[in-house]
Amino acid sequence: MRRIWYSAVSGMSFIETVVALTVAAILSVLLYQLFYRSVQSLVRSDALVDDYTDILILASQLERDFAGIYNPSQEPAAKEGSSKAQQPFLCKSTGTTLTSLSICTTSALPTVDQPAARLVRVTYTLTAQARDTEEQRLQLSALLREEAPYRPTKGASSPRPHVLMAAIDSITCTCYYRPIYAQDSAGTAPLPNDGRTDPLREKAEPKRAARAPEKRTTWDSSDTSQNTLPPLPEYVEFSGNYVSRATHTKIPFSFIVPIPIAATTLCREEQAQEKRS
Amino acid sequence: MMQRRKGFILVLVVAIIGIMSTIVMRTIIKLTVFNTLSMQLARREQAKLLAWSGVEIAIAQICKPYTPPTPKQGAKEANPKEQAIAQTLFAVRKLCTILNRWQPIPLTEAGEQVDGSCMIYIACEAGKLHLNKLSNISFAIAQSTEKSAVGMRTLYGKINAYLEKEIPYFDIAKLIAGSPSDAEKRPLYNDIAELLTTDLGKHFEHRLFIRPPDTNFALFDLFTLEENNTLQLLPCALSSSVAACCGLKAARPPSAERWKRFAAQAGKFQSQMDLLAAQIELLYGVPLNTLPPELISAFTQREDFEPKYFSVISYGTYGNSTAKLYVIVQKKERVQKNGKKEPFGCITKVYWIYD
Repeated sequence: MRRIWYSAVSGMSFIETVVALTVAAILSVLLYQLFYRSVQSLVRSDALVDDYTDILILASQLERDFAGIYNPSQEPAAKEGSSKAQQPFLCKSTGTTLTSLSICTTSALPTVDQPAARLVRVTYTLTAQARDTEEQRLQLSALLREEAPYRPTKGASSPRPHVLMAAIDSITCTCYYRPIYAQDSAGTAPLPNDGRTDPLREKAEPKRAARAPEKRTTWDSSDTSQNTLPPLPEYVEFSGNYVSRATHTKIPFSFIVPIPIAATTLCREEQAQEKRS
Repeated sequence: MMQRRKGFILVLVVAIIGIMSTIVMRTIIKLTVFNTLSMQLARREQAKLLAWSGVEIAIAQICKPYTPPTPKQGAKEANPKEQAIAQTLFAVRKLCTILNRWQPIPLTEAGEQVDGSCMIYIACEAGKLHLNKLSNISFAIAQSTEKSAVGMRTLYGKINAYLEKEIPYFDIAKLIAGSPSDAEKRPLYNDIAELLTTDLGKHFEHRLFIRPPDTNFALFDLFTLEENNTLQLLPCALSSSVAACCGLKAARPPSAERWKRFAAQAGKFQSQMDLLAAQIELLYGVPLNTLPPELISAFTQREDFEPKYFSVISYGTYGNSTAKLYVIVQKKERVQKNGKKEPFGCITKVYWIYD
């Protein structure tokens, strides 16, 4: 009796061992699957959060800066007195890729060390700046934001650019505007000075209202060969691709930033007329 | 041997549960942070939209057309001067109901489908001091005997006296000039906030814009870069800060009965000074002769003057997120197809308020 009891508690049959191992294997596979999926989902959510945060920061900053675009009436400091420096909006592209964008805005970043003027010139530049070898291999760029006072004061430190968005594969800045013609094609209508559209206006000025917004990827209203260009576009579309840090896949983005004062900014002819009057 | 192996499974299970818990917790925390962030961003966008909506409401108030009084049947036709006075009275009445006070615009989930709030403050740029005009003649003022310059000199004294209570030895001429040494080569201003870079301007770092609930002193409420081509101020539209410096309480819209009495007297005004005196008494509750005579010359007395530039402060609040805007609005007119003029407003400058 004693031997029977001992064998029952101290050993396992082959079948028992196989069953136990099978159950353990199934459980291990399930656990591994669960573990693997959890890790994958964590990586994906990390990438999603990081990537969306980057794009949200970019869109939010651009919206803030563009809302405050201002066309200063007074000259900046003498050393900056070139006509380019006075333009409220200046955009350069190579092909369709944005290379630099310069705006004059009242949306200066708040400072804590000393009070500063709110009117600043903000320049966005696309530069080849990789954070690791993978980004270097993919030839990714970074969009830098540099803020300089419109009228520099004595002893002010030189502006330091900061990275607004990294790992950019391509970025296009498309400016939408309604061209200015000295006279309508019929030769009778006045200048489209406020750019607004409303039903009454559309009835009164069918030719002008029917004119669709045009688009371009460069903007230089001081260029005399571009007589139809107003000082500011009505809205700007940013589109392109950036590469996810975690998955290294290209993610497309596209958003539109309006310019609230575009409708009221006087064109060159109107400015001249106002000065004369 | 058997005794030692007993806890092995327990350790394994605890270890696996620990790892899984860590992963799950990290995922939950990350997603919660993202969820909170995205909710906050959504609230911020809603708040921004509400702030812009506030600006649109303000533009609608500024551009709301008013119908000038039509002469009664049988009454003799009013002369141009009387017509101009009638126009002024209506413009004053309209202005004093919307200017220099915080207007809360409550929104409800049931009514407007938005569970937020909006608050606007409108000020008239013709009731503020033109910074570049002051800057131009700042030093000439000291010597000039011209009427407006004398008035402005008195106003300088009033502003200095008002601000000296908080900033010892405050001198508005120095604030505008920067430092006296480079006063002659001083450039014209593009932005009121450029004053912050001067020595005295630092005191106004946190007083750039009017804040609710009060209509206390603010730099953007004292100075303007729009509208005024003269140094004179529109008496019925003095900003809160200018009124405070002049020793006046903020203008309040009079009761309907008082307004009726005032309008009834309008035809009897003998001079522009009578109209000015009546306006000051009606809106500020003080007789004109209690103000220094020199100060009165700082007020414009043109009947046909209609302000074109207004500033709007708009607060949009959604949840715990508030967006604040300071916008300059220009009032323009366009001709409709039927030949009638229709006023409309355009935004000419936008500031985000950070404080």
